[in-house]
Amino acid sequence: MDKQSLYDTELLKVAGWKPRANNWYEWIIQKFFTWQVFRGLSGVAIFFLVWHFLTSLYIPPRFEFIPNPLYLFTQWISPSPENGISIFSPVYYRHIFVSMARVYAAFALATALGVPLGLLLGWNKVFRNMVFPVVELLRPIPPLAWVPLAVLMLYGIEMPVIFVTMMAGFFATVLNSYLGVVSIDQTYFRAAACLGFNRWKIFTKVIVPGALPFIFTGLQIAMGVAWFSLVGGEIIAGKSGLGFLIFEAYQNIQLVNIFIAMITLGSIGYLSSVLIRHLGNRLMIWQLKDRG
Amino acid sequence: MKTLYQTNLFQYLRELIESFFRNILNRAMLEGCLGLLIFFGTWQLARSIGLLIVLPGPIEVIEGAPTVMAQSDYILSWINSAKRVFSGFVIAVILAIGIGVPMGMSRKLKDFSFPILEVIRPIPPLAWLPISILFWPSSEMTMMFLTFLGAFFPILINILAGIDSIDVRYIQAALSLGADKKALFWKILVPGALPSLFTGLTIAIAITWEVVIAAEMASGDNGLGFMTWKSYMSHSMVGILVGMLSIGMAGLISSQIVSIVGRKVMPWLKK
Repeated sequence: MDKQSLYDTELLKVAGWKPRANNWYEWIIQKFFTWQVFRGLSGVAIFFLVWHFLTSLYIPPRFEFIPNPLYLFTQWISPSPENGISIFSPVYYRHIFVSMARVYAAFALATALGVPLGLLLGWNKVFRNMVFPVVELLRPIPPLAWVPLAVLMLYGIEMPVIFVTMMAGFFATVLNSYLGVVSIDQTYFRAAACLGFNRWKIFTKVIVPGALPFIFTGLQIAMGVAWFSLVGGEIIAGKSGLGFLIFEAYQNIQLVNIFIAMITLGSIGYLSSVLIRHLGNRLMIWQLKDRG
Repeated sequence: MKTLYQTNLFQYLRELIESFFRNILNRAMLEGCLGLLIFFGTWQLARSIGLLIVLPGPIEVIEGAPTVMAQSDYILSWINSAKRVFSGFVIAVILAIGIGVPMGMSRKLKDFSFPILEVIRPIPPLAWLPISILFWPSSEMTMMFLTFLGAFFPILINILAGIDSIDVRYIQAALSLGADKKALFWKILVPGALPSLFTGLTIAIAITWEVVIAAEMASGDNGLGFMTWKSYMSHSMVGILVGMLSIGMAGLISSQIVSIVGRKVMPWLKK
């Protein structure tokens, strides 16, 4: 190390910055052996310790309904679970698959219907004036309030649940796509008109890329509420899926299964949101560049 | 501007009518009415020619609605649901502010508690329904707990984002002007985080209604959600539609209240 780089390291240290890692293990040490990670881990550890304490050593009234975390995790990974649900049982994966298929079908429907509708609302003034009041009329009704109507009007079990899940994301997608178009700088439209773009070209070259950041915000919200409504739909009207697994476990008082399903739902929902966010960042690389 | 006393009454009335036509009967309004008319017209037409077998038409709904609303438990359903939403929401606001503000102010506390909250947050509130039915002694407390869960995380996340979004130069400027901790809190942190807090409240109030409806459908014995579910059980389609519209109205009214309070609290956001 020459004098110059030594000086640089000193300077970084004075400024409170860490020197750049030279190889991968230094990078890992810098990234994960920090006070922040340590505090986060200890927070999680304290949470589980308190949970363990309250369910095994000292059980306050009504805490007998909450399974011990150690028992919960040994059941979750045991090849022969007492209640039939663990990472080795095919039923578990069937429920996960059914729920995921429903959410993604509903999400695809909400995107396929909501994004074009939102873009049209922002694009055409007459269309907006005529359709927006109808959207505003239906939007305040929560998705789960549609359950009885959906069950009576649609056939089978799948369609009502998918419909309710779709309703949740639909309005978020519509509104955000619409806001995205409205938020586009008017100068772009004028520039495009000056350059002789026709209406279709304005749509594909100005409106769609301009609204994309908002559309992805909408899609992220849609993914979140889709999981939320799916659970409600499955609890009220379903015959399979993770929401149903929770409810079935409740009826049979299989407390461990309730918690397994809850944690599974949380992690899959979280991963779905991460997936959408990454997809959005991938599609909008120019935005990241703008931010620097 | 001329007042009523400076001009004659006839001219004043004419101006009033003209401004009415300009403001109310403009093109956007007419097109909006046309859009709604087409919506209800199509619905009615589809019913009349027999496309909708189960769903009643809008005229049938309007005809049947008074009998549903005249039932003794209709007003009571509104009050019960609103009580649950309100109590869960208020508890969530108090706890989220109580936890969120210290978390936003102290880096260490945030590092410490944020990961565990992030672990719990993605679990949908309704997934807690069965375990809270078992855990809480009464169904009222179950529903309050669920509404609380639904409202808590959006509010907390938005408080944290609001505090994070405060420009560090404001804090530096305040400190160099000799601000103490109290002034820093009331003059910088509170006004800086309020807009974001109200974004969170708007999201949260919508979620609370959704959660309450589902909880009432699954485990309640009164409230708007239960009323809709009861109508479903007795195959009263008009009842279902009236229930849905009432729930929509209730949600709309409460989010309006939140935004009115927001405008009152943050007068500087007015254009």
